Amino acid sequence: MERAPTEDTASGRKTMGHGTNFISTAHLSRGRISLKRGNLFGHTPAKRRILQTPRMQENADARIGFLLRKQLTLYSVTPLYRFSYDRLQEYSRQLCFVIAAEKQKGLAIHVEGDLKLKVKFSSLSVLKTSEKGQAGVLIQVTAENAGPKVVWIGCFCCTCGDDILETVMEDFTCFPLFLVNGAESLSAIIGTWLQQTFDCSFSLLTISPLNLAWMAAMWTGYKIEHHKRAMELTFSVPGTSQPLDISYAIHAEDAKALWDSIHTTQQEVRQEQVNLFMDGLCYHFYRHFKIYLSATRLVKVSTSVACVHSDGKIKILHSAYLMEILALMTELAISQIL
Amino acid sequence: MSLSQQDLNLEDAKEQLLEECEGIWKQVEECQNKLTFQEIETVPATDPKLSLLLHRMKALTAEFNQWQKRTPEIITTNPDVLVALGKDQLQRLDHDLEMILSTVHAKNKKLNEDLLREQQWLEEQQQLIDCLDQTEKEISNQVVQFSEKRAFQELKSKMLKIKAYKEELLNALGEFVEKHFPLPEDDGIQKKKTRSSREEDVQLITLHEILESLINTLINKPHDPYVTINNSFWSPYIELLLRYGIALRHLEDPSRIRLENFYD
Amino acid sequence: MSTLAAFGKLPTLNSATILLVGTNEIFQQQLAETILQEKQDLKINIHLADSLPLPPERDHIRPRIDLIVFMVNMQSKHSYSNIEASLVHVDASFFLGKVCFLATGAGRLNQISIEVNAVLKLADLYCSPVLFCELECEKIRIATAQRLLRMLRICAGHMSGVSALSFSSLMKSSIGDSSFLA
Repeated sequence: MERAPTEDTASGRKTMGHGTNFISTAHLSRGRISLKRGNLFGHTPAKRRILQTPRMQENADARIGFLLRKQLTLYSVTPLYRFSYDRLQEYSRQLCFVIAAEKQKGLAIHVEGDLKLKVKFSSLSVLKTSEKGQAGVLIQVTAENAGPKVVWIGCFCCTCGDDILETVMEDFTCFPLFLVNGAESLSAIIGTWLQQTFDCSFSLLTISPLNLAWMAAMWTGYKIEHHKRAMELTFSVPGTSQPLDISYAIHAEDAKALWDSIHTTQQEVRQEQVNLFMDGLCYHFYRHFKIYLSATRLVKVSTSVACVHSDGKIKILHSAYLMEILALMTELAISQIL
Repeated sequence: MSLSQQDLNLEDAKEQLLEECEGIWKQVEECQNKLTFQEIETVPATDPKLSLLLHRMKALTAEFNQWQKRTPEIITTNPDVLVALGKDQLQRLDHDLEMILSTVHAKNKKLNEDLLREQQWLEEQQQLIDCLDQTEKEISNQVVQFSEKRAFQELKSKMLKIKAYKEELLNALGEFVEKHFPLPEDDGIQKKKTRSSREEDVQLITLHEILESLINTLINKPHDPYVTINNSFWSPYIELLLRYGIALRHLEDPSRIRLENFYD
Repeated sequence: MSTLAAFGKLPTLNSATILLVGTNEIFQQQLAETILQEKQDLKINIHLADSLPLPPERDHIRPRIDLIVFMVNMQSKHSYSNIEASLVHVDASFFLGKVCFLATGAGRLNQISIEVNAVLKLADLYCSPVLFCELECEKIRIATAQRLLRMLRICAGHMSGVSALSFSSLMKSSIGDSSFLA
């Protein structure tokens, strides 16, 4: 009977936003589609609150550094069943054996030679946003012989997810977001083990152009002192026989000036402001090149703070705004699961 | 004669129809003329819905009045035309009704199937519930209050029993081994070997002791359960153990043996 | 004149005209071909346009438009803003049942650039029905073409007893459920 919630959410997820499946407003007779806050058709909220997180302390940089400047793939995860922070050692051991067994079976792990891989589960309290929040869980796979060098990391986090998620049933732990960096084969093995052990389900978090526009607008507004990069937007042109991409780069200061002039409300970001920002940029492009960028599809956004691609890949460059970025991604992951 | 009469009728009918069509077309043209004088109004961009709804209300009222005033009129008085038209319309109606019938049948069938499926599902759920209730009852009968002390006592008594059993087993093993595999007599065999004059001084240890040392080594040092053979081990017994698979030689060093794994 | 007039011309006998307005030519052509493939005893004229107002040069040879279909491509904001701009050039009488919105590309939810709610709101604002269509899928395309044809026949007056206004009042009941639009 405990399998019922995850099955329903899995089937509910499959009918929405997956490949070419069509919108269906028919109610499943056995499932419960919960429409939280009128979130029909997965529409973006009219406004989002700017997160007031306490700035992370300086020494946190070292602990979080492994997440920065790496290409992370995002997955949305359904709640985990019977996960406990006390048994992390046991999980490490089990996963170690599973990986060794898979290696014995002859599956290529793309690691050179006969590396002894060791797995370590640890809990990350630095990702907690409030007292009641959940600490993240970090899985690190290190190769003992050459290093020890970290070859694969995976991180479960639930940043600020509590206000969006309503009461979760007992025995279930909610980690809507899973970040992965490392070899694909290891990800497959570990993903299968996690799905079998905790009865959860992973799916790639694809980001729609609407949400990408939100990210472009919100991240331009963040203040970064050094290492400023130009803001770059990549658009994919539909209807051409070969993939054609248009890349539009703007100076960070100019983009920030534009955003500051639009964004006057302090506490929140509104949909109209985001639309105005993107329309302004597109109009500027049109005046120079006579190309309507609004007829193309935004696929990649790259700012000084982070780069994100609509396939669900993100690279965070600064630790200063990590919590906000993770909070936004968690919100997207939750809306994908529901 | 009758043929040409029919032809004449047909010609008449056609002419009459054409005249009536012309009359109606003239009416249409007159209406059109009146319409062109009407101004075209566009929808205001600010609140289109309100103005559109008002416009709609006016148009609906006008249409409603029109329908109220209208009386059903026969389009033509010619009987042939009426018959042909009537047949045509009835055929179309028949076709439409058949389509509707088949759609409704299909819908009914689907609804029936849905109903059956839902009923089946309900039954399965009921069965599940019954089953779970039963299981719960059975298990709740076995619920026993957990008391730490009792668990502790049980564990202690188990340990004692196992210890006693172990003692018993060891004693039995010792007796058996002593009885059937005794040490060789000193005076018998060794005098034949002149080479092993040095070995006469060494006290041979019993098979029991060999086994004990092998067992202890295996239990205490699972990663390296090898016992080095020294002169005090009587070689025929070593051979005995090796041949019956009780002990194994070390892969590289023939002077070390270990007890074979007796567990899986 | 720049606005499209509803009753500016005499209707042509035994025919009906539909105008498809949208930025994506390929979609328009696909839909037009599918409509023409349907067997009808009526002569169907299909006019394709990029945006309104229509160029005035060919105004005299253009027949009276019976149904306007605004095609919104959910993956391009440009088509949405284009349609919004075109709506101003339409005679108010058209909105009494002779206008329909067609949203394509809403099936891939992770690739849309316009929210579904925005399209629904626009249609509600102009009191016209919305159809959702996936032009890549043949069955849906054929079904949509059949629906449009039926609407066209009613709007052109070929169904006796039903006027475009009364028909649109019938259709309103499914769309007017404003609990959709939070």
